[in-house]
Amino acid sequence: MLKYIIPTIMLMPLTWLSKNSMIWVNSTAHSLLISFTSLLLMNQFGDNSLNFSLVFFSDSLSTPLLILTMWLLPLMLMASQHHLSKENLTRKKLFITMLISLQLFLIMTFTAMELILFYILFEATLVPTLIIITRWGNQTERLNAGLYFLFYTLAGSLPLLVALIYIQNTVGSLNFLMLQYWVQPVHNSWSNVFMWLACMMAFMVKMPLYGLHLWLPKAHVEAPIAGSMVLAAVLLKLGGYGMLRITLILNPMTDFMAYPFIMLSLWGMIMTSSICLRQTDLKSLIAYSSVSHMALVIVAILIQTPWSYMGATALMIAHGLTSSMLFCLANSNYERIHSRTMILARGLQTLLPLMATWWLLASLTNLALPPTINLIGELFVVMSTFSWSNITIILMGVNMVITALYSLYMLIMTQRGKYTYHINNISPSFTRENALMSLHILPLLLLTLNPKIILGPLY
Amino acid sequence: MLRRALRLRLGPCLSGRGLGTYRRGSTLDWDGKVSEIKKKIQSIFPGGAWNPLYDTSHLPPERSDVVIVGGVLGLSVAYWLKRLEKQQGAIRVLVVERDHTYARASTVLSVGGIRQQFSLPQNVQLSLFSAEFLRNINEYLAVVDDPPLDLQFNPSGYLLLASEEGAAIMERNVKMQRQEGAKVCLMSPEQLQKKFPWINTEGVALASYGLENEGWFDPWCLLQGLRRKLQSMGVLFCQGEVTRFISSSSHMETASGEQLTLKRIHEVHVKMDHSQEFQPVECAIVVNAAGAWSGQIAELAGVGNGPPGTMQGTKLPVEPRKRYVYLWHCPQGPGLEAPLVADPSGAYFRREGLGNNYVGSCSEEEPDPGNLEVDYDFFQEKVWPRLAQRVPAFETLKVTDR
Repeated sequence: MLKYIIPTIMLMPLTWLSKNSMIWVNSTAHSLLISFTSLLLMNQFGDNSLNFSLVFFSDSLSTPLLILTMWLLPLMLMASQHHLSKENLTRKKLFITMLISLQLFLIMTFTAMELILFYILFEATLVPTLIIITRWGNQTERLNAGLYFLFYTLAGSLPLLVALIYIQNTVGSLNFLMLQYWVQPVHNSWSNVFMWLACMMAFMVKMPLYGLHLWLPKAHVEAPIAGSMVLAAVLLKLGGYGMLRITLILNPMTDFMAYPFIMLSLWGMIMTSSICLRQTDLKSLIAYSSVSHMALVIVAILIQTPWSYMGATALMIAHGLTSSMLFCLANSNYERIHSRTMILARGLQTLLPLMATWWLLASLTNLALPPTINLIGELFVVMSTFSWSNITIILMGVNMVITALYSLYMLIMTQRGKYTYHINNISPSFTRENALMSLHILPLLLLTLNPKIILGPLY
Repeated sequence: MLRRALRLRLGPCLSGRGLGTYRRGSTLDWDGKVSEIKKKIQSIFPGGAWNPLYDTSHLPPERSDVVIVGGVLGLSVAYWLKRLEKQQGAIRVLVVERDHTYARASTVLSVGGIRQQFSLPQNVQLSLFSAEFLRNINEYLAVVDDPPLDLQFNPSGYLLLASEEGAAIMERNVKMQRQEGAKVCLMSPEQLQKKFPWINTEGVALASYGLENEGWFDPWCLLQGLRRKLQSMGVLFCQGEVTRFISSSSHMETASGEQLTLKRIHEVHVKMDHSQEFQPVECAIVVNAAGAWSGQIAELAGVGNGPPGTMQGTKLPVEPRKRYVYLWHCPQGPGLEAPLVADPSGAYFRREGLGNNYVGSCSEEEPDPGNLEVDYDFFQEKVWPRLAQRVPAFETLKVTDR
């Protein structure tokens, strides 16, 4: 594991000591190299996880998430180049350092062997994200957004600390290897109810669950592009990953404790999809669509069947790439028009046809077009929830229709039609932007050919 | 006696207690400080604007979709933008106005007339629509819980007089106006004398009289009505002056191979009054509706920087022009049915109110537009003779202060 952590740490001196003209090139190139080495993790043994040490490990659940995280860093650096071009040098280096430290914490989070270490790093990821949102965001509301983001997550996760320490005291160890064998069934009592809630609420807030999702539109919209990308792609999946790990020790209480959250998520996914249809702000639309997709993941994790686990992990990876790509596209719009309102920038297909291709692909994957992995994830979830309860298929069906509606609405609004007269002099797409989009969509399309690597440990 | 005992006992603490009228806290301004702290705490809570260091409520927001620089036309643009947006709150509009009181704006200092008798068909169409808007202003600009607007629209019409040279042009114009739908009639001098006996028809060959949708109204009321409505629709207002436009330019090549540099404004610097403080507002669209000063705004944006004679070198051809308007009192003047009469010599007047007051001027001279001082000698020399010639009753008028 150190072969990923040490190079990532060393990216920081690389940034600070590079020549002025080379900071972006160096950091992007080297982080890309590190991401290629992460593919080595795919070589897993049979049903065991790949254990590096007593501290770090990776199994087929954390591997795809880890690869996604490491793949995203060069993409984030590429996306941020334009809006940081006017800052002074120290600020640029600070920004890159924040991204690298966030990356570091995320790598360690996904490979943490012990739950307390996982918790510490889970909280530690908040700090660079908060700094990125509040310092480099665009508007005055970013301070509010940062506050919401920080305190929602903190308030949700402090009970988790208490619960973890309690479990450590009773069970003896929080190490995954040993936890699997020492876990005892959790009986129904009030204190256990609270312990279940304490364990789960942190991840529910992070996912986010429909009732606790208020921080997400704010944080996503106000964050700069790199912040939005990492928030949408990876930080949300931290919640999913944590839930998948922690449900191991919470059986069999999850069977009945999960009901209210399943209901909230099922209802919430339809609600947030419908809200998307009424959004005027492009980034806000993409943020709400994230909530909607994650609600599916929550439902899948809480019903705890093999197929639903597979669907959840596939959906997490697929959504990570898709959401990140949509945010990059929205940002390319914003950099030209300086406004996020959708109606101000229409008919872009006539002006930027290649970008329209990326928009089309991103919208199609967002609405879970077969045979992309988005569809595989959603299909597994739909099938497993159907077998859990027949009626959910109506809700899922409605959600898929509304998802298709708003994805196409976004596509048609921004791309088709007559272009607004004031955007006739926008600069054409940069190669950097095209490279960014293709680097997002290429893994997505390639995974269509071999989806079993993202289907998680229960495949 | 009790009071004396109290005073003795509480002597040293009296000053702190504030018994009687002695207040030591006045120099420390406790009330102000407490309210400031309360405001700060309120701003920390979610939902409030966060400004921990100092109060920024007078500054415009840091971002807006459309920035409109201007007076009543700007307000009208903002109104229609907000009115026609598909969902409420879709477009964020910021109106920047240099003078909150509109003391020097063209709108409030104007005569406030509306007519359809223009020579361009587009003007006639616009004016017809405006007349309909003004008639139904309380449906367009209605705000919940606010009193309805009273525009004092006097539909008395415009009477344009033409001499021999201008008669042919006038006839052509009236034909065009009738085609657009304006209700205008042509009158010969005899008809004119019969209808308006107080007019001296010497030198008049033809007159065109607007029968409907013409007249004058209170422009200040329109301004306030628009402002009120816009505030209720969520348009942000800011008092400040636009000092700079930050734009980004890119080199493009046209289809014929010509190299162009296209500029795009993406930031507006708005400077506050009486201070050096300015706020950069990031925006997508800037609407220049500054009226007489729109030429200056256009120059700020770089319109006109280029070799003279080319399109890049042409400045926006708008310059402020000053006109005097006078108010006078004449008891024997024309009665209630008097329209706004415009003489071929350039003088014009209209009735103001119901007390035999009249407003008018002459539109020929071009005094220096630097200040807004009124020259009364101009009235004596230029305007009055022409008025007196057209309307004999005006020989005995008396100018009141304007």
